[in-house]
Amino acid sequence: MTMRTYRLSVERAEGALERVLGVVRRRGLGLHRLSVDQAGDGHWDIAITAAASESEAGLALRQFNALLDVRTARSE
Amino acid sequence: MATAIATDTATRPAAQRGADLVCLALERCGVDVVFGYPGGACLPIYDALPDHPAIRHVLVRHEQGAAHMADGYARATGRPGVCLVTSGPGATNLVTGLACAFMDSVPVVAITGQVSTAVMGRDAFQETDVLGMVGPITKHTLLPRTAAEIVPAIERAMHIAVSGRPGPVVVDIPKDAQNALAELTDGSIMLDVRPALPERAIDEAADLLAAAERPLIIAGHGVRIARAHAELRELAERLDAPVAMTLLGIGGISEESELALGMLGMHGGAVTNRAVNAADVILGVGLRFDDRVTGKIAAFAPKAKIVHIDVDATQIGKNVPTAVGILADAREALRALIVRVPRRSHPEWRARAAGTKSRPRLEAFEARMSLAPRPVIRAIREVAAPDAYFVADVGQHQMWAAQYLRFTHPDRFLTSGGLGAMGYALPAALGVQYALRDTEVWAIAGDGGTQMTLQELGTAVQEGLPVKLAIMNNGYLGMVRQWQQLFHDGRISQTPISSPDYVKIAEAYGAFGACVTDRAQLIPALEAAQRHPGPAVIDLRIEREANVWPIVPPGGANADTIEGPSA
Repeated sequence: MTMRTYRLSVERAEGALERVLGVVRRRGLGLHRLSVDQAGDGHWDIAITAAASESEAGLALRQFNALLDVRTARSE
Repeated sequence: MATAIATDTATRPAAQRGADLVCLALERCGVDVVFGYPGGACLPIYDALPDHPAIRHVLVRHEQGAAHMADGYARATGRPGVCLVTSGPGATNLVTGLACAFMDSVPVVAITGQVSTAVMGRDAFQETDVLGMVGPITKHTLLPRTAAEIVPAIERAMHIAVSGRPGPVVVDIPKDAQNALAELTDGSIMLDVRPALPERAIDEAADLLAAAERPLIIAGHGVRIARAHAELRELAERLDAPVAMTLLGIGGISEESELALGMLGMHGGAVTNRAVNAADVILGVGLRFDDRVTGKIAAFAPKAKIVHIDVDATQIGKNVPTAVGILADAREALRALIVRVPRRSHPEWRARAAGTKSRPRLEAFEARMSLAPRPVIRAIREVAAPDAYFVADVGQHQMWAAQYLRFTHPDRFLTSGGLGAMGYALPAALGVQYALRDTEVWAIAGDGGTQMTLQELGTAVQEGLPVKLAIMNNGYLGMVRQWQQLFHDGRISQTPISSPDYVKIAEAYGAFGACVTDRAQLIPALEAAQRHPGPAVIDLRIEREANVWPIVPPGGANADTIEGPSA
């Protein structure tokens, strides 16, 4: 298990945060820190710091990117 | 692909009720039928419906039926199936149908009435947090809070439902938005942005397949969704590769083809599972390699390099390690592979993969039964029109149908594959029948599943939908009983189930009913049901303790397949 931070730009839409958290829950990410900041152009900047295995971390990133509300998602 | 939505602004009033905008949006999206059930929070939409005769409404008997009917309609047509229900219990009753559509990638758009925005979050009468409830079982959810947001939301929902990997979308519309006025805006144009074909991955896949000595293709539901049947057959013939099918991949290739191996996995053919285990390169097309397909993952296809084509990036590499992942529409990817791979010939491998399909031990068992499942399914196949659609419920009969119906026409088999929702068959068959009025549609269900949604027989009669419901009645929740017998030391717990007199039930609803207790009655009863112009129910009293064979024990590898009953 390694700790990494996912940075997401997410549309401010009904249910968007729940969908993001759904990926955290379904992939069993060990949530360490979560921050949501309102950005200027109708979206949220979300940072999720979590522990995950290599395989689940990669799958989580793909699942974040597959969400329709997510404009961009990357991990570092 | 662009979805252009026509408008006719010259003949419309400037501002219209949100409820009318719901109907106009559906009309603009080409919706011709809505499966629904009215209630307080969607009353304005029901008030508007009569003014929009292009949209037929099918009144269901329970909202679960509406979701399954929309599902059946969508699977039969490739177009979104639409259901319409009220808030609270109307929406909660949809949940099973939405989850089913989600698991099986079916484009369903559910419109749920919601309490007015002024009382949302105050535990108003019939209020539920619909979006919170359905989030994990839908592709997307939308909540237009004003009348002006309704049309864009519905148009977006219809687009999302069918684009990429299809799935259900819920549009939750508060009652005050339905009653408020807004102008109908021009139709939006939504682009279906498909990923560019990953040329390098396709080259790598082509190289692997060309070099394979024992290639095998596994066709999943994605083949059918992408309408890639011709491409699948062409590639299989080019590679001389046998084709195994998942439960939902059945119909991806004609079972008359020499290359068709039948279903793999837990109740797949033993020869099919052996072929998968022996293959050196497997091309998986549009499937997620779920546990019913793979058995014990660590032992799945141990000699094979796996090439996986899927339109959903989250599926590639999720369950099985892949040598090459191709993120693409199945048809486009198969076309690209066809032009890249050389024609190969593997006669020895094909013969080995096809194996021998005779099952003398099972046949000996069946000979002792008055009404064995296999002859019953074969009789239904014999009587039904060659191009008939079959919708199986969930349980033993589902597997018998998958094993023995033998599909030669594409896409004629529907079932709740991922969710395994009992009660699916009858309402889904009604959705298929609505879409394809002149086609014969059979629902095959057990006595357990039948009793979950039997009330939709009322819908069939009211709408004049002549679905034939064949009930494989063994007085048990048969699949669970089988597991109790085989894997729980024979301790039968709460699986015997009684049934009403289905003939009387059918007749009470105004349908045809027949009961079959031995082989001599079978064909005449099926033919009588088929001849009847309306819905029909055939109560087939099959052998009570017949089991589904083969079976891979739970947690076991496909190589552990138990082929049949011990002598």
